[in-house]
Amino acid sequence: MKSTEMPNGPFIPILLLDEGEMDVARWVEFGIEEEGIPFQMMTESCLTATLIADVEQETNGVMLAHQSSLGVAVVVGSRGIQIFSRLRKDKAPLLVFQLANDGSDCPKAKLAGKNAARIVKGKPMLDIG
Amino acid sequence: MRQYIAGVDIGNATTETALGIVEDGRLIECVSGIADTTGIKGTIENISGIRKSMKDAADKLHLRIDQLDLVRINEATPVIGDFAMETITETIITESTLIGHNPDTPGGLGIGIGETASLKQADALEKDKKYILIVDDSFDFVEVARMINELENTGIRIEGAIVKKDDGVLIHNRLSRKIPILDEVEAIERVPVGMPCAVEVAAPGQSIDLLSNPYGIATVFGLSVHETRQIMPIAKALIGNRSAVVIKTPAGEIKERRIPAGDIHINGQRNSLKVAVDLGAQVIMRTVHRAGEIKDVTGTKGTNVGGMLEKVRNEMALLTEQEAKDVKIKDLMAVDTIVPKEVGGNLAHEFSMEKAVGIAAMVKTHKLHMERLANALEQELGIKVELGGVEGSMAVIGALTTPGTEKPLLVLDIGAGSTDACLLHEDGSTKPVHLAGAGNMVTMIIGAELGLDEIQIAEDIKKYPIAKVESLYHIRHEDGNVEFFTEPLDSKLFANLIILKPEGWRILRTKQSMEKIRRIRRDAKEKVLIQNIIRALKRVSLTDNLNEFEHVVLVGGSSLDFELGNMVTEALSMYGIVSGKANIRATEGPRNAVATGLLLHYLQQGQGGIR
Repeated sequence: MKSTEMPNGPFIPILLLDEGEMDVARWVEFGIEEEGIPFQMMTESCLTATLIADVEQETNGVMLAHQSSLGVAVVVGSRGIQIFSRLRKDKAPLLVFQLANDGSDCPKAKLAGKNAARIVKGKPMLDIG
Repeated sequence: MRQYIAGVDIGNATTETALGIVEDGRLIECVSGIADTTGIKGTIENISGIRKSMKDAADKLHLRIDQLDLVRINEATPVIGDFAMETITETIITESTLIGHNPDTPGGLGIGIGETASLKQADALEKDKKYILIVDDSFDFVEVARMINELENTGIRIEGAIVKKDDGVLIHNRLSRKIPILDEVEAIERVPVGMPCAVEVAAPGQSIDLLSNPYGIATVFGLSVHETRQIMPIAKALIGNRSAVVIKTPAGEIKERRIPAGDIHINGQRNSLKVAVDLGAQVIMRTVHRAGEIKDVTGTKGTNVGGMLEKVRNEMALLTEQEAKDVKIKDLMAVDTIVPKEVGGNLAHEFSMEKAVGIAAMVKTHKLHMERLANALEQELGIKVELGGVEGSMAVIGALTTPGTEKPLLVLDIGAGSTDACLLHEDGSTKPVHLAGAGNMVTMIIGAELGLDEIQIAEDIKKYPIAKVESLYHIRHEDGNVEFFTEPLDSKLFANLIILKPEGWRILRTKQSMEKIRRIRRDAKEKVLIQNIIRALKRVSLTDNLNEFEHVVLVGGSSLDFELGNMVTEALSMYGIVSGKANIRATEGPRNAVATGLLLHYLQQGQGGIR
């Protein structure tokens, strides 16, 4: 596992890879917050370049989840919203939500955030459609 | 001389064949076939299913159907059963008085008491007064929190909030003074303004305390003794919730009332008696017992039970080409149950547990037109077809091929609509009985008690065990065992309950726990099937003493139920009865009893029996 500057503590890391998707990432935060789980928004500057590169190449997004003490991480970028879990032993995201770049993205992002939190809580996920 | 003889049992769901090679009157080899029954049992439409079932068996002996020498079909028992449910209590709210639902994530903690006011009319709120704010979906949570904080700063006390959107925690986290918030209230526009109101939110893992206690509500609103009695159904409906709102409206009224569910008229051998359905199953069954052997049963027109009794009568009349008035209902079974029903006048799909009675009826008449079917089949196949014998008697002959059984033997066939039993005495005589209440009634009770919309889900719960997907790599079975997988499971299954259907798992979307579903399923089987088995034993008993029986075997498709065999064994063991699923010909399990009986009966007629 590569070293990171990830802070200690129980929270779901939300890695924002594309600053243009800040609004979407904020709504992911709101979804996690509504479920009562701590979270922390991270940008590229928070993590090592190697880890960022891995995540961007979709080869090791699950590493973020492994480094989170809650075992779940969210990546927001051009590929949409990806939820990674250390419950999954391969490197694929557990859930992926494509963005439509319309008004439906924010409510969808909130539900994605709720689902990320519900994985931590061991509750069934909500249907995003 | 070598002969190929087939016994064919046409059941409601499946058509089963026992095909034997008979040489000089001795059975050399026997194979089985099975196919779905086509059409209603006893009609010409059955022929297609009979062909398929016979072909299934014939293929195993590398034979063609036209090589068979004789086909013996069963004299189908002319029994039809049906069921209905009457809810006998209901909770009605006139005006808006109660919101007691369980959003996943209410905000805050504790109790807030004040007057309801819309956030849209925030400008009209008065200083030094306490309010519960009503927030519709035109506000976002940041705005709501900001407005509440501003109101508080001006001396207006906001004690709680009722919110339409799923924003309870988000609002709460942004407040300078914390209040309880109930969110996800769909019918927010129906919440009255200017009324005394209490909002309660309990800590995670706990349920509300004040609003589920009638004296708690009385304390909050200063109710009189009469009013406290009136709000009892509210408190009852809120028990177990994590959050709730109660609003006192001047003309508001909550009623728990008994619904007139009509009467059942039982015309029996000893007495003709009338019983009100809303008195419950125990009273109904006592009345059935007092009436003696039932000659006929009718129900009040316009009720579910009355409609069901006429439906089953008309179905049989149609099938047997008789007048409906000539078809008589011969048995009745009633079961008490508690079902979740949406509270009348609710604001957020609140449910209240209401009493209900499930009633099953059975109608029996003279022979179905099996001769007609036999003749048509003979013409179609070009081989001799005969009626082999009465279903129940054939079933016991087949059941006796189960290792470890002997006469006297009671055979039970639990079908979809009726429970059929046949006692084989030591002298070879038989006594069949047919009882109302069987598999479909169990399905109905499971569906009603779990509040399921889709009857197929209830049917699946009845038939298969359930499990919980605890991680992407393991599930926990309902008996506590854990099963691991090397490949990750579908993430959609995560944390859900699943029904372990052999053809693929089915997600069970419910807030009920696995333990509760399992309990409801087993209770339904206990209330209907086990009780019916005991009723059947009493009916065929000469002394009304169950200890006189030694062997009881279950036959038919429903015996394949994954837990029923063990439940029956357990229940009857206390009477010293050896019971369990049959194993026909020591190979077929509980299937093929009647078909095998038809084949063996032929041999017994010619050779004096093979056992």
